Amino acid sequence: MLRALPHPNAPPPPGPKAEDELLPLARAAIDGNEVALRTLLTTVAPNILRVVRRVIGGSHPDVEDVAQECAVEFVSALRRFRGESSIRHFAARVALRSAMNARRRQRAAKRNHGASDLMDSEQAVSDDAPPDALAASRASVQLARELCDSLPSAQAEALALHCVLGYTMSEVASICGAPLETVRSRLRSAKTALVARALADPRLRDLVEEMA
Amino acid sequence: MSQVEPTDLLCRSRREELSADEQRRLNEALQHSLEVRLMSEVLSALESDSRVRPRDEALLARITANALGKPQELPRRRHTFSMLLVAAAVLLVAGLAGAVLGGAQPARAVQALQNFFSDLPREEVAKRVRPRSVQPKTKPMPSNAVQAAPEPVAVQEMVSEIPSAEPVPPPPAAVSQPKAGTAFRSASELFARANLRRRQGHGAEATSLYQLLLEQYPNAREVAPSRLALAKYFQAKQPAQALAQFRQVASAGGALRAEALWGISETATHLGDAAVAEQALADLLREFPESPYAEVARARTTHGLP
Repeated sequence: MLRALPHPNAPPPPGPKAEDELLPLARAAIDGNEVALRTLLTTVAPNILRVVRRVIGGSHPDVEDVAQECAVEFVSALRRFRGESSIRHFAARVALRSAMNARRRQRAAKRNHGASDLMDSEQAVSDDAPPDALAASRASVQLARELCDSLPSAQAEALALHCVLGYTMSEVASICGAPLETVRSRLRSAKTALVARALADPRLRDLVEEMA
Repeated sequence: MSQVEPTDLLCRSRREELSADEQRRLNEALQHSLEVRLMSEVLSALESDSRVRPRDEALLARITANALGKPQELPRRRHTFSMLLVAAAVLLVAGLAGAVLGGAQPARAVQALQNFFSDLPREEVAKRVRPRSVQPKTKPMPSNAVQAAPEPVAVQEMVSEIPSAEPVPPPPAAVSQPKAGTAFRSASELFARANLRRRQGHGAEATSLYQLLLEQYPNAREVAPSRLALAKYFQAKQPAQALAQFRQVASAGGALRAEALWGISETATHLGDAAVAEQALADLLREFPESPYAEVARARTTHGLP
């Protein structure tokens, strides 16, 4: 079944309106207004939580801790905000980087302890999907997350923003502060690697054969 | 002008309606491009996984409150302070050595050293710093600094069993300083280690480390968040102990009182003590009307406790 319907959890579209909404609040927060900072953080916290859930998995036991780290990092990074992107995009990027770092740290720790990787074996899709679709979706998600762990950081960030968080290429360019063609090139390499891994993954054989 | 990438169409299709032509192109790409199909699978699964959940309000409130309550410059200040302490200790020992070698009054030198360890009990200081009779100048001065160093205490010994979450009584002022020689040089280091072990799923060890922090650094600013962490750890299986920890944090006041009141309300509800839960919510609303918890608390007080 093709899943291309709009979803309420999709990222907010970019634009001057979104920027204008939070910029005054951000400026007041940067100037030391605690109420503004609280309001700002309350506004972007759901975005941060959404990013964390997408990067490490919604059922992961460390969602709260990692989201907490991301929120602290956002507050800290706010001083460095120069207005090159919208506040929501800035928060998404800060949260993405923190969450990806947390994921890499946890994977390394689990490898050192010889434990299985809980982050990717968890439930990532709703149980009401058919079993084969469920398996393909889980495998695809795992593949994308693992690829983000192993790619060079600039490519991984572009792939995660586009493929995991659902931002368009121009939005990714705006968020990263990079030219569109650069982002396009990074994504081209990353998506090629994703397809290569999918072709080699037995769990996605049905999907690959269906496409052939 | 370059054509819009199919994966861009996919991203846009999840939040806005595409034109008929765009939708047709996307459908074609979904049928023929493995790349687009994979990305569609990933986005669909992750949208389901990151959907809003029933307890998100409280979760977001906690995240916001903790992020705002966290000291930002703490590590740097602590590092500077510890460097100053080390420098002061080195200067003191060098000065004492010079004074004794130069024939100055040893009693005053020893008194100065005793003052340096004034936070330790006098008997302990007497054991560590033995006044020496004046010796001929040719005899070298033994290093008091080495003698004064306490015996190393193995961390494993101190965390050998999982301690209970009973409130830790404040120790006497004379022994309020942490024991030196442990593997952790500061409360922040111990706190960071405990947090790491908790995140790695070693809850029992993390609990022991938090308890160790409470014992060794009873006046550190990491005490309240450690108690909160302990309370959350005990909340499901040992609610009475969790409640005791939440109460300690609440009674200490400060930035974490709102979260502690919220914890008291949650735990008391779990224990079936509606009166305590309602009182905690009332305190929360009265004292922290701007708190992110307040909105949820208002809903609870309006619609009743769960």
